[in-house]
Amino acid sequence: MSFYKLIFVNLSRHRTRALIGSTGIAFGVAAMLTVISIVLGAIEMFERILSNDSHYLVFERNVSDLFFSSVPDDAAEAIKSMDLVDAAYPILFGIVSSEDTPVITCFGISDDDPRLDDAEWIEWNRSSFGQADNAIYLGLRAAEFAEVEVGEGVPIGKDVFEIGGILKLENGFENGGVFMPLRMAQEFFHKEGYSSIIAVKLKDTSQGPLFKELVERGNSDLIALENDEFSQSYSQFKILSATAWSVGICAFLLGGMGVANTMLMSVFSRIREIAVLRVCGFSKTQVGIMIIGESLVLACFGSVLGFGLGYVALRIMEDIPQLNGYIQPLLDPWMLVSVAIVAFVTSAGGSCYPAWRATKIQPADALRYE
Amino acid sequence: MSREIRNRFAETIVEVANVQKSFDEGRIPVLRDVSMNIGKGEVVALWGSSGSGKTTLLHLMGGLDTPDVGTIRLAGLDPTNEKHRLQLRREKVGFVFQLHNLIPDLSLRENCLVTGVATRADPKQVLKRFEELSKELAIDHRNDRRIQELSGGERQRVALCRALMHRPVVILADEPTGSLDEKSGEMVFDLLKQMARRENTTVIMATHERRFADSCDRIFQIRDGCSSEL
Repeated sequence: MSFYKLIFVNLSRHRTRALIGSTGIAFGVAAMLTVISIVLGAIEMFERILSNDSHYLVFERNVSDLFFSSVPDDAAEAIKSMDLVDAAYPILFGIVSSEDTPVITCFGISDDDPRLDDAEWIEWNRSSFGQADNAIYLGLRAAEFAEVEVGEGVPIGKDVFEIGGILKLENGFENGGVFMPLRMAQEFFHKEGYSSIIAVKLKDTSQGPLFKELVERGNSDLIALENDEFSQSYSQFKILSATAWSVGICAFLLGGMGVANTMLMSVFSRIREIAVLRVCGFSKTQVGIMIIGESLVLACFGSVLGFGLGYVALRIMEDIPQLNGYIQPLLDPWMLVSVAIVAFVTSAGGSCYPAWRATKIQPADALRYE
Repeated sequence: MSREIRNRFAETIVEVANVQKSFDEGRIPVLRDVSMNIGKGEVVALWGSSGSGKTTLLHLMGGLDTPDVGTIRLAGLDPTNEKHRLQLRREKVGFVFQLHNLIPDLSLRENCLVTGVATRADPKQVLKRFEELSKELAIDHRNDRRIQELSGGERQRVALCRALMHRPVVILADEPTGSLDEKSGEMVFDLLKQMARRENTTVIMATHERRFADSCDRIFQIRDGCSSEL
């Protein structure tokens, strides 16, 4: 007989109640896992778009969102002409809509953009990009969703564009997006002479600090950040992550309430028994730890169940045709550990009040009345 | 040497002096003036009718409750002091209740080992002690049975076993035979006395049955909240 066995025996005596408590935590874990892994996956996809074959990003200083950044073409040319730059690719981001799809990400890219080389061309070929007037290029998922083929016209905004090619990209956002030659995109979005960012590949990455200095000296409205540096500082990513964690923690709070309810019921139904334990020499601390221990066991089962549920939910979402490609969950080990820690902390927090109540049980009172 | 003479020289293990206790903010007085000294190894009966305050007095002695007035010392410890109280329950006192108060769904053995869990005693020593006691109390053939599977008499013997596990100096028994039939009651009472004698443990037993009280070394009658030795 050990203290730990006592904890398990206590839980096993009220299996349904324990299961309900665990399920609350499981839903919290599943919700948190799902939301956060989807958001982290989305952030990672966006980071990959930005960092495609590049080391640095140049964009307008102090913009809240890269969609609002404006980098002049002459700045792009100046950067391209720097000796320490191997290649520089301007990209213009925009949001377009078609009849059935209100939001499609549009990428205005130059003819030499490396993602065109990396893509698998499903219809037509790489060399066709930018050759035809008024032609746009669809990611495979966007093409499947719009049910269009090369040569067909597709209404976007007020204009109708011809499908010049369909390409399959690994990145879900890109695969669900529209690609336009940069000049066409600048005209369409009324941003002639500007792009959103410039992705820069250096000849020697050790010259990064010098590159940053040259960019900022050449145009004080611009800033150059290393890809990792950008990811850590970009406020949109921070907001997305914070939102995901907030939603997850809210889900957990509900789970915590479930645990609190379960444990409180458990304490109330065992008042006499807890009194007997006190009579047998259990200290108040031991009684409190026993109750919190029971809740941690619930958290343990809940976490395992929740990870299973969350994993299944993510796999199902990945297979939903409408979401296909857009959801590429990122199951980061640290995130899994963090979710588990939140589960345990929530569970322990939820059991604090029941544990406190248990320590306040007066053996004489509890034993006097049946 | 007769028991009476021996008791006179026995070391005092429980001292109760002018204890008063009431409930409901003084509206229900239970103990008005109780004093007694009990020596080591004595088997003492607190005899009185239901509601006379026997259980309350036992609870006060064991530190389950605190007196309004008066002092209690058990094995030199003050049951009103939180630290002493824990030491009392862990080392000095064993409780046996009218309703056995065993933990359901634990086996007979596990119920008895609970005291060792509380004190974090050496599991091997605890188990050895349990095996000795369960054999002497003739419950060793039911060691792995759950409490629900035991008879009333067996349950009370388990409660006695649990009370003796940590070698207490005093056993506080509250109507230990009260919920049993005559035969089982006598058997439990005899075992209680026999074990106490063998281990030189003091027994303070609350009972309303005169026949059990008469079998004890001393009888304190609790009546109208006061104690008197018969």
